[in-house]
Amino acid sequence: MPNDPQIPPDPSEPTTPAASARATSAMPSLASRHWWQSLVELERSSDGAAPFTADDEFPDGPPLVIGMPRTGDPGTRRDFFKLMGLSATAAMAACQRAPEQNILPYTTKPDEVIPGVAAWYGTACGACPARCGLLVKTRDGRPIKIEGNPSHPVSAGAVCAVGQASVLGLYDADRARVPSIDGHSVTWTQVDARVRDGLTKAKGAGKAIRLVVPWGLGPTEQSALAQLCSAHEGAKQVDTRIVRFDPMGEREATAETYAALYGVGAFPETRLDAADVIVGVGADFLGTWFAPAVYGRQYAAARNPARQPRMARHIQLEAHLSLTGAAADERIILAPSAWASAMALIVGALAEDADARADRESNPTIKAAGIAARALLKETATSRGAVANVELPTSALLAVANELRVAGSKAVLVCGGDDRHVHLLAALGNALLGNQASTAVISSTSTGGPTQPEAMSYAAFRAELDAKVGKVGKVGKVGAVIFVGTNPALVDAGLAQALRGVDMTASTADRLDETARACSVHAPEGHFLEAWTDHAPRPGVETMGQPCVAPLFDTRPRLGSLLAWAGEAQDSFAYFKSRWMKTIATGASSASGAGAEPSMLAWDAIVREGVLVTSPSVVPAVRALRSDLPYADLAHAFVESSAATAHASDAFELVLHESVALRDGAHANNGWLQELPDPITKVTWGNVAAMSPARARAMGLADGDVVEIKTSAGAIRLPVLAQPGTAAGVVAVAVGYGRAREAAGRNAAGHGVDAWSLVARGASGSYKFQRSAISATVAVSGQTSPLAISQTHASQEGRELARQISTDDLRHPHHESEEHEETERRGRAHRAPRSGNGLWPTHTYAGHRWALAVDLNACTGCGACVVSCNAENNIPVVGAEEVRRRREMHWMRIDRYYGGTPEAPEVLHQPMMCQHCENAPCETVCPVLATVHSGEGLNQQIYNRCVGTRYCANNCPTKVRRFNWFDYPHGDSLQKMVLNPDVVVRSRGVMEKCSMCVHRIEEGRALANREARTLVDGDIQTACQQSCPASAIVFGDANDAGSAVSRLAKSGRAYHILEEINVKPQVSYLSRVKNRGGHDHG
Amino acid sequence: MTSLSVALFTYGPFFAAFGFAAAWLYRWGILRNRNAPAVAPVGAATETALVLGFATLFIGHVTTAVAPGAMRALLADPDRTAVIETIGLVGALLFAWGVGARLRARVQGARAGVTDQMPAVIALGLLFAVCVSGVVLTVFYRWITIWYAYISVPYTRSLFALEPATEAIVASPFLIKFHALLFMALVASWPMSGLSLAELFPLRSVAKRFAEAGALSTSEVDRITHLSLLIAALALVMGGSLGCRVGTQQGHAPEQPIAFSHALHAGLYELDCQYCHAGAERSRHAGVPSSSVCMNCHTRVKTESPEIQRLTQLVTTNQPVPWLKVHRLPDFAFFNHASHVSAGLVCQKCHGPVEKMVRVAQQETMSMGWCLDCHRTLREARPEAPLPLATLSPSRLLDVDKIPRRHLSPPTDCSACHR
Repeated sequence: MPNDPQIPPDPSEPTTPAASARATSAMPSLASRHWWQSLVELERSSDGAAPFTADDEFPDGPPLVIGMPRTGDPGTRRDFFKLMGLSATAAMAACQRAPEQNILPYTTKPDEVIPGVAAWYGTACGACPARCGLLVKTRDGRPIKIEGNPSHPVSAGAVCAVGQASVLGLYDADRARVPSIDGHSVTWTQVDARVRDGLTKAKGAGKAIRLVVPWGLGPTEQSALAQLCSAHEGAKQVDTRIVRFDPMGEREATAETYAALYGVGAFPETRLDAADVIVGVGADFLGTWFAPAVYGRQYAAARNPARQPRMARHIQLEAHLSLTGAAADERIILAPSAWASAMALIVGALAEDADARADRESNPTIKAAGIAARALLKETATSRGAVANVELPTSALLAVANELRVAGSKAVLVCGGDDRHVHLLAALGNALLGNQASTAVISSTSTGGPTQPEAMSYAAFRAELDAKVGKVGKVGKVGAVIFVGTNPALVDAGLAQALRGVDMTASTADRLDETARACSVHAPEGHFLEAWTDHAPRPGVETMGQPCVAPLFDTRPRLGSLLAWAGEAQDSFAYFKSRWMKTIATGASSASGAGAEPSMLAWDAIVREGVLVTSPSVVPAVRALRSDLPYADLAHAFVESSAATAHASDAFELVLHESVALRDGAHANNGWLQELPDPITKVTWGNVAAMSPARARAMGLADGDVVEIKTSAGAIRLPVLAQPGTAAGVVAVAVGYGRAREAAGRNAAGHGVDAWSLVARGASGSYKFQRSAISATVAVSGQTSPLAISQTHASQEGRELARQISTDDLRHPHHESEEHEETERRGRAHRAPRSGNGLWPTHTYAGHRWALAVDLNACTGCGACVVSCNAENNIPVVGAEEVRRRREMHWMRIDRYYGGTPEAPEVLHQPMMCQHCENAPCETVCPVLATVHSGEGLNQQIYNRCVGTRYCANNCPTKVRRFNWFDYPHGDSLQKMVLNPDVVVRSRGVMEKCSMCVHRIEEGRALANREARTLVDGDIQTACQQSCPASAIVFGDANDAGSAVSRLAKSGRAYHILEEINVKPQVSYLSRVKNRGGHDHG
Repeated sequence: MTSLSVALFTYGPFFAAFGFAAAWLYRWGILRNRNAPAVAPVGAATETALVLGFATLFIGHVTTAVAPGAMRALLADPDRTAVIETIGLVGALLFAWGVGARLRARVQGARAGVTDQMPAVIALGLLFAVCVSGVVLTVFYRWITIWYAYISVPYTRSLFALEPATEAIVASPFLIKFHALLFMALVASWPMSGLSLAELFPLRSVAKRFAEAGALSTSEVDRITHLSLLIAALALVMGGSLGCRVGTQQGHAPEQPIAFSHALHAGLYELDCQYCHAGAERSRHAGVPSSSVCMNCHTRVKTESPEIQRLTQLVTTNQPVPWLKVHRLPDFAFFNHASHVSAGLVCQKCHGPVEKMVRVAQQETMSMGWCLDCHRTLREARPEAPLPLATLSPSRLLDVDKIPRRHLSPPTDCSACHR
């Protein structure tokens, strides 16, 4: 019997007397004692000793002996009195009244201010040249939140993450606080005297004056610039000119291309919402290109599956996985050096039947473009034979050309990057599609920036700075340079050296940045929320930017500086207003035909609205292609400047790109943006070298291994990330990180590496910078640097959290695709437990039942909602080290999932916030009832009850609860002015999470009550909903069958996550729809 | 100097009490109540004087502290006051005689070489000083009993409520403060003196009787005495704190930088609350009026008042008036004035009869339970209230009876106030 306990010991085991004795002593007889708790106890009882002594309870003795009478121990009395005194003091302190607080009223209250009530100002964003229309929320005089202006005809209420975060920049402690000359603080009078003197001297010496300006200046600023130029236009043909600088070169390349083709330095006005086929060529128009918030909104409209006649199709040609590429139906992954060849193929195919299409659509532009394209391709084929040896996905590209041809004027090519050759081909492609009146509008009034006097390129300006004239080659040609709100030295490291030969240099940067440090005069312009600004995003629309707060420091808006240096007597507001009154008069007369003097009421109305619309209709007369295109010159000029291509097989093509958060680096000191995870890589606080997984594996590199990237311009070391969807020979690095502390600020320094140092000079050393297709080598360094990644687990573990269907499923509900069938099958299985078999009583919602619906098809993952949530809910910035410990505090995150192969992945973004589950797992485990259900379906978190056990976070299936490990810095007296007084600032040791903006709900309800009406759908918007450029998030009352959220929740695409565990979330998701194309076409 | 006084009278009594408790625990627990060695007795007549004097003073002081209303009624007549004060003075003199004799005996004992007399001498000296200062007060300050009933007793009672109200006592003459401080020092130092209470107080004779019967030892009598004193003190503290809930600011009435009287403005002149607190109808905060609102009238009215001149001074220098907050909710509670005002709640419901307050005090506890009581009751009752008048057209306001009404249903969800 093998189970018999009496079995004799195995003879193979040693049965020494000692061993058997131990065995006996360790096994007391069952009769004497049945149970034992520890081996010590067991041993002791067998020895006949008392099983327990008092020492077992406190093996180390009590921590402190209090007043115990121990003979010969005189020390106890002192301890006793110390403790007594301590407890007495503690009790005293606890008995205090709460400290007194003052209420400091105004001496004379401004009429429009009601303490506790927010005032909203319509203004214009200044965070990037797109200058979207904004509504700025101020509380008691402090701007605290930026939202989109819904009545703006171009941006239509959309703001990107950078725009949202720019309110934090207002309270940036590293901004310059006073003007300075050569590093010494001075007064504005001294600054003006010095600059005017410098300009006069330059004029007297017959030297050139240069004003370096960014793109996207407002009309008033341009008019002031013109005035400054004309004021210093000397008699001796002194050359005073404007230089435009564009860090990424995209605007410059576009404007140059359109100047060559159409004779005007204008941007085509891209209208994605009118397009049926969108082909992006290296343009990250949802993330960084031109005006991403505007395009995000248009794109969402075009990509609505319910759109008639069809949902737009999007094909993206790019080198590394961008936000835009992640949204595309189809990606063609090509290194930048091959883009020109690929575009040549497409344009060639379009040009073949251009004449026929021109006749069919009676559009002469197509015919002209056909002639031009054929001639140009012939020219480039001879001048650029080397391109042909790149292996191209010819069939895919021809299919793209076919889709474009079929869509015709409803198609659009959106071109990014700084390669002029590609831009030329894309512009010709658009002309061949005949879309100048529909999707890539070139109108007779299109403008592209400052036009008077003739602006010069930055490359020409730099060449001029380097050129020495005079007897011994020491005297420069340029006598004075003023940098107006632009920072070329960040990109062009040699600028500081070149500026030494200039007599007077000045910068209006908001801080002592790289350029301002190289200048003698620093006239800080402050923040855009402190200034009157304006912008003309398209003909007939002018955005007005009014200041929302008086300047916090002794700064002066750039308009004021320009006018002061132009010798204008009027102060800047009077100047601004008089120019606007003229514009209003023109607008009014064009509308009514009468040239009436505008009234103050009109001015007030525009200040209130934040925008003036003089011609709401879209297309004035279309501008025609230049008839006298010099094909040979064009081919020469554009192709010569194009990307160098000859690469060795082991060499890399380096692509420098803007990140969605930091863009070119101007916002590097913004903690919200530094901590905003990159939408694709999910890296915070730094940049990485993104390589294709196969290439990284081949080099033996894991994520976080540091590599050295070397180009002709220099070398940097930074950690590598195996990024699915990167072209094989490409290494992509985001610029803008790693700026110096003294130039950018405390949050910028030490995070990431400055990739601008790798920017390449153009052919034969020209200053036409090259940001992509830079020949580089990548070497393993052997070091590692852990990445601060916010999402390290990218798998759904087979649970269908984020779902995708295709247009086929929508079009033919009976012929369901395989993936949809799988989804349905799972769905049925998941829905089974939903019918009331819960452990807990079901909730009844008598009044409202708040819910969210998130359309994954509209969501591009841009992160605007995350920053908006940060700003609205006082969410702290925790820093890189804490993110590495998974302690980021974001209430809302965007989960990114990959599908398919690592070489060509599909990407799904899923905004994830508290799901406000009906059967909330967190609620059942909280020992102190700090998280409870409300009568309106919300899962409430009560911070002042929370004791920080973190049970709820452990039990949360979506991991959206965040724990305050520290009192995160809100103490900076400047930065804490951005805090929202309607939301409590949580302290250390407290769990927090998305509240569905319950303060907005309560505010909306209170307002409705006060106005004696009931809440209607749309009265209340959550912060994430308001800011979403794609309108992907909808909040509302699920008990109201007519509300938008109810309708969405009933749509065929709607589902809840984790239905199988019966938590019943209040958040519905709508499946992403992939447009497989090819059904309605051709 | 005033701040020193405030600190002494705010913290001193508690430190004295803690000192007493600590020293007592130490003596009883650690030293096993080793008494100061005995000295020569003082004689029977002196003992009697001690008993009589102690009884008089104890009854007078404690009765006033326990029943101040009764004592004030008794003191309302000058003749009665004169009688009471005379009896008190005699008692004090008797007590001083007895204490003085004991002190003398201790000092002589110490000179004769009896050990460990110094703590006892200090404690008895303090007691003698308390006595003498009391006599001086009675002689040189007229109606000292009234001072005691109206100033010292409220202060003493506030001590037992653990919320010392020191304004009046701090403003009292130096000798009164001296008397009180000496008493605190006495309380703190007594247990360390090694003096048996039984040796001094009338309980001595009781203890003697028990000791003679062999029922109790002297030290046991001491222990019983001490324990009963401690229990009495604890009972007083607990009793005193019954009326006040820890953590609330009920009764808080800070002195404002300008002595503005709501009783005058809102009471006598019947100014509407919202004339000044204009945010109450539109905002979360009712708001304190900007100084310009005061100047609407006070550029002409009452300009000779020093308070108004202080206000004018602040306005002309564009300085805000540093008003002190009376009603202060914690930062995690979000209260909305506009919601409550537009629901038809009168201000007095929460703020009390402000129109009768010269200096505004917090009337209610303003605790969460207090808020919820009202919200829950109204949620059950669903009372009707007229629509907010601001939303109605003037023509509808003419007929008060026809103003439309709506049901109120105040929220009880946590997130209604905690966000």
